[in-house]
Amino acid sequence: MPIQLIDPTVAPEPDDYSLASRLPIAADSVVGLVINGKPNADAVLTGVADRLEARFGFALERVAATKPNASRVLGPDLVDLIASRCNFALVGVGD
Amino acid sequence: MPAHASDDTLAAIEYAFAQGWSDGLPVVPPTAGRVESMLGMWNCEAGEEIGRIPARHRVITMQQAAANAIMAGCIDEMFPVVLAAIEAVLDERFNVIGPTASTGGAAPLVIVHGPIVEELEFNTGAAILGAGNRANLTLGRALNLVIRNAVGSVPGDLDQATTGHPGRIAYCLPEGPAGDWPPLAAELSVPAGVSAVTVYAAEAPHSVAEHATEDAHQLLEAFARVARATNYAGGVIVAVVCPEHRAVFQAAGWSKADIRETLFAATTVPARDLHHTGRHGSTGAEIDLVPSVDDIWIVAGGGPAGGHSAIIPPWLGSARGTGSRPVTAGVGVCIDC
Repeated sequence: MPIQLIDPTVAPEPDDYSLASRLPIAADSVVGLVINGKPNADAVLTGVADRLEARFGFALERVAATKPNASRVLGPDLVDLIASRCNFALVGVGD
Repeated sequence: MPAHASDDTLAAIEYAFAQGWSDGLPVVPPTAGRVESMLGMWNCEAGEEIGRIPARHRVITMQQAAANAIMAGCIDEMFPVVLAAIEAVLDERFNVIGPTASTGGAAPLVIVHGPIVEELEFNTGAAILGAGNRANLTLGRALNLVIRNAVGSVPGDLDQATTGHPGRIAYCLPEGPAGDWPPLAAELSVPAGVSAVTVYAAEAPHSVAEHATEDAHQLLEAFARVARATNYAGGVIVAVVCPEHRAVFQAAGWSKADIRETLFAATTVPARDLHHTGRHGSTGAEIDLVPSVDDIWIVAGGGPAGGHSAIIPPWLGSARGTGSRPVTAGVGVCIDC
């Protein structure tokens, strides 16, 4: 008699996200720095922003969103801050 | 729907290994009949949702909970306790994706409170944190299998524990008799006569070995030495106090509150002593390793012989409760509704 097993795993639900179209970045663009709360995360993202400015040849306005704890998801207030103020955002891990 | 049809039990066990369902030990095959039996005993529907992990886009149902409980070796009567533990880890305060993904390598310690400890024959005596008891081991293992298979924290993948510890196989602390000490359950506002579990993201237990002294202050310092050396996260710490040590404290007239207050004072250290953790400054300013007196939890337990207690420190990322907080859930009953 065959043994039938129940799968104990949970597969991630498919999401319906798609990549946004690329936006032009100009001198008045605002970049969000999503600092994940790890030590030196701000140094990593600030360094990336510096490199981008050097590549673009103009300065960007910067808005920092710092998570209080690295293991927590970004809170809705910080998501709103990034969405309302920024043209694009940088996310990275520093430790 | 059944996932697989196998010809015999050993083949089913091997199939579970091949699918990555196992923690490294053989599992009891989660057959359709066994899952149906466990769910039927508690009038649960297979598709009923238990909770969600939004950051991982996952929904955990009764069917997966039962399948993992069966794989862990649980008897049907254990299922409500497993469900309570799952409810606790899915609580936002516990933040399950933090401690189960972190390099810190924490494990979910399940503290069991109330009548269920005796009813399901949990072991509160010799080797309370060790091997040898089905209830202790299968409850802890069931929760860890849920975290692996349903939450998705698989070692080496989303679980990036640098070393991890054996509690990620099974980690259970049933609360035993404590004489005239109030149980931790009462201190956590679990009503008398109600069974509950508290899940706590914890490092491995660290031994407090003190066999010589009968002086409560000297004994307390033994606990403090271990606590100072291991709790650099700044969260709840659990002290498992063995009967011999409890007798020393009780002979001196120390209550649990006395122990907590003295231990709290003894675990305030200069920041420079913790500079190596990378989480504190290098100054002489003092840091309370435990955020408050109430964050020292004392549980009576262990065998009658030996001066061996334990300090169980929090996950490094607890970060004074901002990363993970212990969560208590009733077994078959809501205790905060």
